[in-house]
Amino acid sequence: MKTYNLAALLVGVPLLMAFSIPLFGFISKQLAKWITVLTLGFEFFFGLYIFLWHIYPFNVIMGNWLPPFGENLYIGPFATVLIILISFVGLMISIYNLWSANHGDVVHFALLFLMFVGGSIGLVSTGDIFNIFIFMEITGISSFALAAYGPERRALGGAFKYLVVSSIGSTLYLFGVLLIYTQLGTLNIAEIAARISQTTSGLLTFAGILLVAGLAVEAELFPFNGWVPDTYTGAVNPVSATLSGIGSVGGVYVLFRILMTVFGKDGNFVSTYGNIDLMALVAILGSATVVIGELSALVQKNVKKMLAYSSMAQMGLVAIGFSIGSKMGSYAGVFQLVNHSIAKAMMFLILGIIVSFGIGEHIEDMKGLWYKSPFLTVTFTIGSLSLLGLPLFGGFWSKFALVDASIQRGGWYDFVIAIVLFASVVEAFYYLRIVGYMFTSKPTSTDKIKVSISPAVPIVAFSILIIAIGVFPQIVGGISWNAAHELTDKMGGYVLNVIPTIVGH
Amino acid sequence: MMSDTPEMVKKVFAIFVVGILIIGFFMVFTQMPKGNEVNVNNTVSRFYVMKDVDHATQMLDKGTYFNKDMVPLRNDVPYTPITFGKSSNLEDGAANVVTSIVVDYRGFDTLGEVTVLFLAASGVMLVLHGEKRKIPKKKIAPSEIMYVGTRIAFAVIFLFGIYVFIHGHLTPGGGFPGGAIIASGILGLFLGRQGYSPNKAGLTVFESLSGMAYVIIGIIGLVGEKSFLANFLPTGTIGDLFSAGFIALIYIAIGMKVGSELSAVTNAMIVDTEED
Amino acid sequence: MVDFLQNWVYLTGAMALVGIGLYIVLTNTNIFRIIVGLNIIDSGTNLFIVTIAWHPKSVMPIYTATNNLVVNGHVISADPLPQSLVLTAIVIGLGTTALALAIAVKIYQKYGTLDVRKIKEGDR
Repeated sequence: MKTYNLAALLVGVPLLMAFSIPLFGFISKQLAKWITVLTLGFEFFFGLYIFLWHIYPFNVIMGNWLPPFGENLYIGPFATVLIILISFVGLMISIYNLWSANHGDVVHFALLFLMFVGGSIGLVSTGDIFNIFIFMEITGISSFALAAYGPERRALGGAFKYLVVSSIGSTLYLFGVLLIYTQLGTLNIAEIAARISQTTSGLLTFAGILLVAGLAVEAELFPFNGWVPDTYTGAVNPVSATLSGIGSVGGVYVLFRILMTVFGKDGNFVSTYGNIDLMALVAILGSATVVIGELSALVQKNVKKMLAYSSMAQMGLVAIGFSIGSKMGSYAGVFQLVNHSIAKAMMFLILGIIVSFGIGEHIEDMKGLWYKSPFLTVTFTIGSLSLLGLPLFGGFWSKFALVDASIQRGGWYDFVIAIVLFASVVEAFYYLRIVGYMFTSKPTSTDKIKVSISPAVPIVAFSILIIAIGVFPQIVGGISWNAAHELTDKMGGYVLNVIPTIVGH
Repeated sequence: MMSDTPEMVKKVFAIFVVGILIIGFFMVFTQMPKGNEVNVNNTVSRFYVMKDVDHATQMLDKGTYFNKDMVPLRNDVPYTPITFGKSSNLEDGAANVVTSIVVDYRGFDTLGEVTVLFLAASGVMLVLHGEKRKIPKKKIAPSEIMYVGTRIAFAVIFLFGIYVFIHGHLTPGGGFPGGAIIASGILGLFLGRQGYSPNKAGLTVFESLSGMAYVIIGIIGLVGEKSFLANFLPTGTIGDLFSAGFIALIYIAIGMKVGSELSAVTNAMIVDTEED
Repeated sequence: MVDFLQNWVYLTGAMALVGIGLYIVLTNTNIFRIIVGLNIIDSGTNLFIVTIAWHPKSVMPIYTATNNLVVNGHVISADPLPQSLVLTAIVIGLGTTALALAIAVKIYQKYGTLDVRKIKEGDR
C-alpha cells in the first residue's frame, strides 16, 4: 500500500481558506474572491503534480488509522483526472467570478463557491462510503445556497426544488449505506467491495437500487432530474456553469464508483451482484435521459434552458458509456465527462457575458452576435461543435469511443449506437441553429460587446483546451485509459491498492 | 412538487411510491440482523470499543485479519482488559466510545460535518443578505422579569454549554450539543430584550478562528504524526478530565464554532417579512 | 411475542416516519409543509440508524466505574459507530432545514405566497 499523507492538504487547504474567508472579507470583498482563485490554483497545481510526477495511485491515511479501521482517501487515476478537471474548471470560474460576482453578499458567495469545489474534490478522492455522504452534503448545501443567489427571483424556486429532491436523494443513499453496514459491519469502500458477495442478494439488490436512486439525483439521470432545468435556468450563469461542470462530475463519479467498484462483478463486461444487473438499469435510465433531454432541448426557445437540457442529455451519454462495462466504455465515459464539463462550463460563462450586456436569453436575441462580438461567437461555436462531436474538437473522440465500445459489446447495446447518433443529430440541429442565428442575421443595433480580461481568460483557456484535446486526444486519453482500467478491474485497480492483505492465509 | 397534476392523481402516485418503498424495506428487514440478532462483534466497532485498532492493524499487516475467503476474523483479535480510572496510555483515551469514534477514529467525518454546518450558516446569510432587520413591534413588550431572567439564565446556560463540551470525552454530549446549548442561551436574550442584536462581527471572527483552529489541529497532526487529524498529545488515564489527547481541544473548537454559528443563524433569520 | 416486538417495533416506527414524510413532500404544495415533511423523513432516518445499533441486552457505550463494555472478550455495548453517524445525520438535517427556511422566507418576500403552484404561475 502506497501512502502519501501530505495529499490530505487537497482537502485541508480549501477548508482552512474557506473558514478564513469571512476574516479576509472584513478587509475587502475583492480579496475574498482572490483567495478563492489562489486556493483553487493551489489545488490545480497539486493535481498536476500528482499527475505529471505519476505519484498516483496512493492512499492518504487519516489520523494514523489504517483502512479498513479508519478513514482514508484513495487517489487513483480516476480520482486524479477528476481532481485536475474539477480544480481547473473551478479555477477558471473563480477567475470569471472576479468580474461577475458583484451582487449581494460576495464574501459568502466566494466561500460557498470555494467549498463547493473543495467538497467535490473530497468527494472524488474519499475511500469511505459514509464520507461520500458527507461530501455529497457539503457540495449539496453549498450548491443550494449558490443556486438561490442572484438578483432574479426565479432562482429561489429552482434552488428550493433542488434542495428537496437532493435531500431525499441523499437520505436514500444513506439508507443504502446503512443496509450494507448491517450485514458487513464496515464502511470502508475497499472492504465492502471485496466482500460484497457475502451479503444476501435481496438486501444487496434493494440497497443498490436505493444507492442508484440517491446518486441519480446528482448525476442528472431520469427520472430524478426534474430539478435540472429550473435550477440551471434560475441560477446566475457562473453557478450554472459550476453545477454543470463540477457538480455532475462528482455525482457520476460516485455513481460508478459504487456500481463498478463496490457492486461490480469482474468479467469481460462488468455487471453487478444482486438479483438484477444495476449496470443495465443505469444504461436504460441513461438512454431515457438522452432521448428526453435532447428532445426537450430541441423545443426550447430559451438558450439557457436549452443548455440545461443539453447538459442532462450529455450526462446520459456519460452514464451510457460507463454502463457498457468494458474498458473502452469506461474510457469513453471519462473522456465524455471531461469534454462535457469543459464545453458546457464555457458556454454558460459565455451566456453570462452576453446577458450582462443586456441581451436576452431568448434564441432570437442571439441574432447577429457576430457583428457585436466575434470573440464570443467563435468560442460559442467551438463549444457547440465539441458537444455535437465534430472531428478536430474534443467531443469527437469521446463519441467515437462510445460508438466503438457499444459495437464491441454488441447485443442490445447496438441500440446505444442509434441513441448516440440520434443525440448527435439533434444536438447538431439545435446548436447549429443558434450558431446560424449568430452569424447570419444582421442585428438592429451594432453596439460592440467589450469583454474585459478576467472573463476572457477562462473562455480562451477552455477553447484552447477543447481544440488541444481535439487535435491531441492523448492529453486526456492516457489517463482516461488508466481510469478505465481502475474501474473495470476492481481487485487489482482498487481493493488491493487500499488493503493489500485482504486475501489472507 | 408536480403542480399541474390533479390532486387525486398526485395522492395515488404518492401512495404508490411510498408503498413500494415501504414494502421493499420490510422485505429487506427480514434479511437484516435486528433486535436480538445485532452483534457488535461482527462489526468494525468491536475494535473501537476495545480500543485496540492497533492490534487489529498488526494482524492486518501480517495477513491474519482476513481469511482466504476475505472474511474478517474480528473475534480473533485478542482483548486487553480496560479498567476505568486505571488503564492509561491507551491508543485513544476517551471514556465515551462514541466520542472516540466521532473525533478520533472517524475524525475526518466530523471535520466535514462542521463544514456542513458552517456552509449552512453561510448559505442562510447569503440568501437573506440585505434584508431589513425586523424591529419587532410586539404588542406586549418583554417584562422586567423576562429581561433580567434571561440574562441570568444566559450566564448559567453558557457555563453549562462549556461544561458539556469540555466533558465530551467522558459523558454524553460534546461539541455539538454544547454549542447548541450556548446558542439556546443567546436565543433567550433575543426573547428577553426588544431589538437585541449580538455583535455580528464578533460572531464571525469567533466562528472563523475556531474553524481554522480545527483544521490547524489537523495539520499539526500531519506535521508531527505524519497523518492528518492524528492525535499528537498523550492520552492519559481513561476517565480523567485531562485525558484523551486532542479530543478536548477539538471539542472546544467545535463547541465555540457551533455556538457562534447557530447564534448567527438565529440572528440572520430575524428579518422583516412584511406580513401586512 | 416480546422478541417479535423488540425486533420490529423501532424499524416499523422508522419506516412509518419516512413514509409519512415522503407522502407529505409528494402531495403538499405549501413550501413550509414540504420542509416539515423533510424533517419527518430525517427523524425516520435517525431512528433507523439508532435502531440498527441497538440490541435488547446492550449497555451504553461509555466506560464508567460500573459500566463494563466487554465481558469475556465479547463486546456487549450498543454499536457506537451508527451512534456517531446519527450525530452527523442530525447536524446535516439541521443545516438543510435552516437553509430551506431561509429560502422559504425569501420566496415569501418575493412572491407573497408559499404555494408552489402560485410561484410557478408567477414565473410565467
